[in-house]
Amino acid sequence: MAYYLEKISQTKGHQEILKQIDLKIEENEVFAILGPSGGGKTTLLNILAQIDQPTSGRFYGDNDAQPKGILVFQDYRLFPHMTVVQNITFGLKMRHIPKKARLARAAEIMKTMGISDLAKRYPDELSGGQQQRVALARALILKPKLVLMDEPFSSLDEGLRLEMLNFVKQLQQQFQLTIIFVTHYKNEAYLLSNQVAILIDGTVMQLDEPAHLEQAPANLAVAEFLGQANFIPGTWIDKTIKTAIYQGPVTWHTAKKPVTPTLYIPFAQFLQLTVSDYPAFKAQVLDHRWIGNLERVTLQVGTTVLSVNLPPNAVTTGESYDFYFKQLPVVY
Amino acid sequence: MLTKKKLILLLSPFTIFFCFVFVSAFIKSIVTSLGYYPLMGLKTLTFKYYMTALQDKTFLTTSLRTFCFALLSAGLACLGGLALALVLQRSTGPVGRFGFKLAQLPVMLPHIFVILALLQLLSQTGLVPSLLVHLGWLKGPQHFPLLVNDPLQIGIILTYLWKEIPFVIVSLMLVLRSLDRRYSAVGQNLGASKLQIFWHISLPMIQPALLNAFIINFSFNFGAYEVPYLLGNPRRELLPVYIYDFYVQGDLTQMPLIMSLNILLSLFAVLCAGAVLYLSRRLPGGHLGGLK
Repeated sequence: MAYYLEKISQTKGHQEILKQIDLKIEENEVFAILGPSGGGKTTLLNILAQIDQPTSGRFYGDNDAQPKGILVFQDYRLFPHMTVVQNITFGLKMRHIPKKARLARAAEIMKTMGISDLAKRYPDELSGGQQQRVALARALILKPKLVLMDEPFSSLDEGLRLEMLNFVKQLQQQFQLTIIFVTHYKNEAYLLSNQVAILIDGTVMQLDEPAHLEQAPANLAVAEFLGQANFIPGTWIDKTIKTAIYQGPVTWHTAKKPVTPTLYIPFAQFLQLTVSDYPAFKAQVLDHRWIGNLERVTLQVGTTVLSVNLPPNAVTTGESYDFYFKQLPVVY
Repeated sequence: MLTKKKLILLLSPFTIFFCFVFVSAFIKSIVTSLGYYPLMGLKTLTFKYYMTALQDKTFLTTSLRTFCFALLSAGLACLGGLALALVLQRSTGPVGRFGFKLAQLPVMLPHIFVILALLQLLSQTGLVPSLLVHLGWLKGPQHFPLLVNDPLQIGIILTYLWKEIPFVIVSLMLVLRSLDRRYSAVGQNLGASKLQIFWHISLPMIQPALLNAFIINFSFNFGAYEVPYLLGNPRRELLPVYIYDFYVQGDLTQMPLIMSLNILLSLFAVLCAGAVLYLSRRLPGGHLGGLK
């Protein structure tokens, strides 16, 4: 069953939090909503969880006029006065499922989650990762078709984050879940989802695959949010752009030609030392630092300083090099 | 952040005062209650005054009456305070804010103010009966029900409720505000009705604060003197009045007995508080683990 968000808007006071959101989420898909804090992500999830009502628009499924997603909260919100097993069986208890059946299902789900030995503990006696597993178990015991996750990994440290990310992927496949999750970490979104919606200022600015998002942000707001790029202001001279580091032809992804162009140079995959049809600039290397498989190189062109990612040992500090764009550069 | 030394230094005036005045008075009372009262030549430690007190029918009847009355007043205050706190918490606008400010007012006013107000308003010569007679709704002030110094102690209960309902409201509002809607939203999403959210989530979370307020109210009601003295019925006096009347009679030979009564009253109040705390820890909400 696919889910549809149709022109969902939310206004509180005089503030428009969500503006005409249109999205389609396929069945058994992990769908990421990526955006900065205060962009309306949590409000949107609350609407999908029926905790909040939209001012206008509707959310529906193929076979369900009013689908309700079960939400895993950012801070987990385990009931502090209940043990792990009481937290997990809370939803079933509210549905008046007999205690024996509740406990049997809880035992099953706790085994899947690897938390069987925590049944009698209270939330304050659990680590962050354990709390998240309990929160997931509390949602999954209800056998929901749609699971909503609000910044699910933001409270976890790096190692645990990757572990939980893989665990959620595994659960999604095991339980055939449709998951909508919101995050402001793009790496989380890229690792978990093939479709990412960028939500900024209450508007879905772009809906795309991760690779395409990085290569061709729909506008300056998306490009700035995704970060890891240099933004060089410029002016138009006929059909070419003039900036402090580059003068020449450019292209743009926006519907209209930008009035005040900003040259967009992502750190990765845009500049190279190999000669191409698009010469960029001559720059002096100020610094280069190891960042895994690549080096983050700091360049200086005149008074402008910019960063790029290059293969290890490709440049030497203090030397000057000619740089080339891999493709026609983009302005916003 | 206060250092340990600074904290000790800041607390020392109170601690010294407490140790010298309260603790020494308490020890003196215990020693006297055990029969050691050299002023009257009594120097042998004995439990006989406690035994006498516990065999005194008037003392036992008065104690039971005081217990029931304190329990009823504190219970009513908790129920009323809980209901009003929930109403005020839902009224997030200016009306709710004004209501909360208004609720704080009686907490600040002394009991004597309320006692005098009640006497002026509700005694048979008070303002309300006069007004009703004036309006022709009563034939005479003697037909107005006895609400002050009455056998059912209604005047005392009204005075306590006037102070204690607002106290419960203030205590609970602080917890309710920290909870806001966070946990209700979880309950709602997991399929709980409004009643289930209240019963399974909100009530257990405010239970410790509610029972703490109950303990404070109960202990006060059980041991307070001036309100039952001024508004109570002399034929059905309450324990603090009974003990104090005994004390002011000035018979120094009775001092060990009076002190044993006093210690029994205190012990009973402490035991009741302990029992309620024990109950609170075992009820849902007894383990909150530092509410986040």
